[in-house]
Amino acid sequence: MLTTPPEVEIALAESAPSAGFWRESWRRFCRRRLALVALAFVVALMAIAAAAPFIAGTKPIICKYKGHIYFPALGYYNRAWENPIFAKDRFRGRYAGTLAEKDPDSWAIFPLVYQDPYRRVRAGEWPDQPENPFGKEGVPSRYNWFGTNPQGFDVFASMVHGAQTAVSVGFVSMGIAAAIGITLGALAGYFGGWIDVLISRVIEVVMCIPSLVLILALVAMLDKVSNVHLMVIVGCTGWTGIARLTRAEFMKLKQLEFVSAARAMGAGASRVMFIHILRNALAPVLVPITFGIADAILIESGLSFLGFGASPPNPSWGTLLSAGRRSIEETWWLIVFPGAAIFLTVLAYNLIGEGLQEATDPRLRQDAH
Amino acid sequence: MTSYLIRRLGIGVITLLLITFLVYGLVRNIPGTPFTSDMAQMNPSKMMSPEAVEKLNRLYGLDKPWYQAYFYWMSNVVRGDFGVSYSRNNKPVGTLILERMPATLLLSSTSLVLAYLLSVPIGLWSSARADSVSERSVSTLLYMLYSLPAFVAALYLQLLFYVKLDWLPLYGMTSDDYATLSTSGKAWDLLKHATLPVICFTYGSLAFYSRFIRANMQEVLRQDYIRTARAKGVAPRTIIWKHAFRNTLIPFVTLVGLSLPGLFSGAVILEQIFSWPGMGRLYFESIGQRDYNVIMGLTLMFSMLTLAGQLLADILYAVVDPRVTYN
Amino acid sequence: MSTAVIDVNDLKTYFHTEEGVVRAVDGVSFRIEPGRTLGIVGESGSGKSVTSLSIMRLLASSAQIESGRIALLRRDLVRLPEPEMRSIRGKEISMIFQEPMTSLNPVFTVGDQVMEAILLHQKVTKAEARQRTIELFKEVGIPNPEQRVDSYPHQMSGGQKQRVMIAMALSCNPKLLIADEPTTALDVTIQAQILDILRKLRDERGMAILFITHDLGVIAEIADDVLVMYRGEEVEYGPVLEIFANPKHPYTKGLLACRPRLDTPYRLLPTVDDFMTVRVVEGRLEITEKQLDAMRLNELKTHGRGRLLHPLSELAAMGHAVAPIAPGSARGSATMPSTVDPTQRNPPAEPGATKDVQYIPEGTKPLLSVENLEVHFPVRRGLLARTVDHIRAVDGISFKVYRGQTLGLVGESGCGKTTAGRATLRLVEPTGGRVWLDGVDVASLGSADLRQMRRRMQIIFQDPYGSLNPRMTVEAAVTEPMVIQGIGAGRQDRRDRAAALLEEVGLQTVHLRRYPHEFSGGQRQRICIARAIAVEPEFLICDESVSALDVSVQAQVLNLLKRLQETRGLTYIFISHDLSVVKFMADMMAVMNAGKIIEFGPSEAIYRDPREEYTRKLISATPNDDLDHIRQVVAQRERTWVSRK
Repeated sequence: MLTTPPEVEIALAESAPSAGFWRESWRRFCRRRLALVALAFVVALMAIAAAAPFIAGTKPIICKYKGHIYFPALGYYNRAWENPIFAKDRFRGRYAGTLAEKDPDSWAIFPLVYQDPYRRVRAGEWPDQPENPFGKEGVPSRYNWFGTNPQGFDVFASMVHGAQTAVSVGFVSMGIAAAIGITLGALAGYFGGWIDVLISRVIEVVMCIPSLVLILALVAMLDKVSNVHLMVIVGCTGWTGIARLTRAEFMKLKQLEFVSAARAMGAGASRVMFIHILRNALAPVLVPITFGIADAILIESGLSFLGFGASPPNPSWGTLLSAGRRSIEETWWLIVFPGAAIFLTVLAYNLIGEGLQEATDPRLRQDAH
Repeated sequence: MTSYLIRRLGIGVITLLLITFLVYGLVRNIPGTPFTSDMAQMNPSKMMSPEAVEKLNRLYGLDKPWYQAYFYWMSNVVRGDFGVSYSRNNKPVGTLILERMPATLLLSSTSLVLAYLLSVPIGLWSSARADSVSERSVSTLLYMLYSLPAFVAALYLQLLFYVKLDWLPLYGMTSDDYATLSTSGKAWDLLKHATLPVICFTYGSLAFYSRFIRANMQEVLRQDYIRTARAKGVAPRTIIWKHAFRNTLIPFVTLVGLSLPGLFSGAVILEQIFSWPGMGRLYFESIGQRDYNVIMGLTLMFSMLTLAGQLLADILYAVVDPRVTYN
Repeated sequence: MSTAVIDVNDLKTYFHTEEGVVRAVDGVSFRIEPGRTLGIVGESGSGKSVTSLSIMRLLASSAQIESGRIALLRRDLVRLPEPEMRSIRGKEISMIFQEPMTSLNPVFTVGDQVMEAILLHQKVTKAEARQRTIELFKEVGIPNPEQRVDSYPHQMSGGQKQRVMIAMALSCNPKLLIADEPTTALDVTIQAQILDILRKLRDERGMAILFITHDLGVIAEIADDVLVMYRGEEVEYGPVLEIFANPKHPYTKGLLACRPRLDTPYRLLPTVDDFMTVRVVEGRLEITEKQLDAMRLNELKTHGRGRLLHPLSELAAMGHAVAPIAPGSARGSATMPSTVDPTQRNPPAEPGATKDVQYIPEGTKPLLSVENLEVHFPVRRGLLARTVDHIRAVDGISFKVYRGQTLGLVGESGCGKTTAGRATLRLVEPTGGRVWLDGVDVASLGSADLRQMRRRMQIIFQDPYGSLNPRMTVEAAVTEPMVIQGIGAGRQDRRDRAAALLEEVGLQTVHLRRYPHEFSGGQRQRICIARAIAVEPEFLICDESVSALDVSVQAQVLNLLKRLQETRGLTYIFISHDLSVVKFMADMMAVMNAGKIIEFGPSEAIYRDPREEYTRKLISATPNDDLDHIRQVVAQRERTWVSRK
């Protein structure tokens, strides 16, 4: 009452269709400069993750070898995508010199930075580029922007490729968590009764087990941990908050008259749940999902830091940090750069989450009652 | 109220049974047993003969399927016997936990008190000064802190205060010569060792609590009864701390209850970074060593604390909110 | 001139929003003498509340007093520094608000909250303040004040909370009491009590009251002078009798005419639009009066549907004496029940006019027949959550509705009328009884049959903001029932139907692509009506469908409902707390209290001759703006006024 100006009858002019909820929310989101910057950061991070092999790597993006065109850099995404001919011809991942040696007519376009997240670049591989230093010698230099790790692997290359882990773990695990959480929360909130009692108990049980404990135990059960395992595990343990919020939203929304109206016109349970309630519950539920992505990234890097992450060789920001901690007195760059990356990513997701919250919160929207 | 409490406790017991059953099944299905896992990886020469392993398994009841073993464990727990730690010279689990408790409590209680003491004034101040330049910069700073992962912060602080400035020790709870120090020397030594862990434990919850208070205050300040108070002629300061804060306390006490398990559980990663001999580290080590009884003992404790915390939150809720009665 | 407690001169309060400047209050002037009451009346957005908040200087930060003077005993409040203003609030001017439910702080006892005001402004001890609070509680009619001071707000009813608010407001003997819609959220019987208290305290203490309301009836009961506001502007200001007897401004005329008074002669209500046209010229309102011809007014009285009552035999069984009718006249005109004679009020029927009262022929089957409908909610308690008791929300009600009729369900909040309506449609599962719709028992239908049945019965809800899905365009909302019920061939056909429906309810085809939040309350309610009739139902429940609307909009929607009933042959159950609206709409009326129907009969008859004490109470509590009544009140006020001097 106190904060809103009086309602003024709006004369509806004959014009284009009005902005829907999401377009309106986007307009509000755009008004928050920090949230936009954060969104740009995340988009850039995703682009870097997607294009990692083209940014840093030692395999050519495209090359002509023995009369054929190949894309060896795709091997960074999946081993099988690297043509077996290079394995047969004993390239051992070293294309720069080997190509010209085996086929003088070959040509290749290499990634922007000639460094590899999985191995140490030796002297003479690349014109005018010395061998990667290792240990405490690996300070940041013009060849190794963020330094090298104790084995002499380039930190910049590892971080660029590690962005893949961060981005995919965040999205996929929260996708899984959202699917579980929204489904269970919706069922509990809409139907109530014994379904609610049952689901609420399950939520409580999962919430009571400390999540790191659960995750550590699950990870320990696996022989060889991959990123996919981590995503599933983080997703299967991180859905409780989403489920509780969805449940609360459903319980609130099902009281509203438009839901009664839908039931009165004969709409079945699924129609009411998905077309009427879920569409309205989605905005508030998106907020914890966004925060959840930040959490998932934190958990992944934390697990890698503890040595419980995906099995090596697997570039992860947490793994770099862990190496940095072991030699903290000498290799500050192994802490500062990956630490900053984790921090900025988490901050960005949190800012986006908050921006979303303010853009979609009905109490903060004056015109949409 | 009593019947409500009894019902809650009843449900809590069922939840506990479910949790422990699940976790027991989980940990027993981790490949390896206490007698094959860690020592073998560390040192192949220490690998026990299959017969020796078999004998130990029988001795500790590990030859039975896990669900049977669970009931065996549970019935012992009911009798107050939590079993012994296989990898720590058969030390009783209860004793082990009690040994580790003070180290964790030292960190967690200090940081809890600090977080509450600082966050309430900060939260109130920022709701009173909403949208001023100083408030916005403090809020931004708090937001950054809130997003800064504790383990990143811990490493950064170690870099700064140990590597760069050499003011504070890197890790551990005491120095090597701790035993020889005077009482005040001991206190000083402990303080120096605890400073970084306490900071890392505190800043996150500090940021979270003050943002929580501020958000709730803004919500409360929109309410009709605040307008009533203003119409009475109450001064803005009184409105903030009396009328609004009293209402903000209602959701805030829920947080107090929910922070109870954190008080004892410690933090796995932070204790690992600072080599702090607390509960989180104990848990972490036990998983690696497949020390089932320790894992289960700790799980039971954490879950009980979580449930107790929820119950405490509900009770506190009824204390601060006169509208809530449990009938 | 100097005797005025408050003298407001050309007050302008503007809101500065992102969309531009909103002139919430634009040049309002008035003065109130001690012991007098000024009523400010206006609809939502008229700026009446902003005016009161401007006087208190409690405006939101986006609002600003641009110019004007607010003189409290010759002190200009506009320019007073905030600390001094604080010592005026609660002491010289105090205020009570619309929502007693949320206006008290839930975590303090009501006694503490009243004491706080006393301790703030008076030099007394705590014990004295408490004593004073108890006395005040006695004065405002709170029973057991000694115990009640220690109650928390949630332990009190709405009416009692409003009494606490009044006690708080009066605690420091203010010169001016601002009451902002103080009775709007309350039931009419409680409203009558609160108005009594305010009148009594005003006369005893000689304070001035600024009474803000949208309800002309309440204004007539309490005000000495009336100021009518329209979109921030003062349109008329004068003594109450003058305003009611001889309104000058077309808006005032419209407002007075469009209210369905208990004794309204109209069959269709005149609306404000009949009296004036509004244009916005350079951000300013330009109001032109329309010449309203007598023909049109007469048409409103004679055209439109008359009453359609139950068969005479049933009326007789209810004990409503009816004169015998000529045999063979099936749906013909009949003599009125002896107690009612509207022909006295209405001129003889003109060509094209419909009959006043008709009766359902004997032997007709009712469209809807509700038998012993029960909705009991279990109350669970104890360790095992056993059901220890039931809340009897609807406790065995029976009624019949014939095709084409309107049945009114009237009662105060919590009487079960809404639950009864929803249980009839099985939106709430009835715990007992039968609901026969055209020979089919709705209460026992399986879900597939029920879905089919929903095509024949629809509902329109109260909240124009909550009853449309905010994520759906108007087109999606109106076509959805057709999709569910399989009406229309394809998308385009349904869109065309939706467009036609919008035209039918007075909106335009272009509105199809818009979202609900862009419409006003009345427009949204029209969309809801279009959605409800999209499946061409026979039977429609209107659950408080006009309660949330402004009076001028309410009149339009009521007219629309009446017109649709005629053109589409609809049968209505019209649920409302507002006796006068129900009486205007309904042929037969059921008065509900505590889950039961306590009186059932023709609405005219119940109004003229209520049998039950409760119904009588309800009727007498309804504010009366009859001119004779106002004259009486004013004369009495003048007498006390003179005697006081």
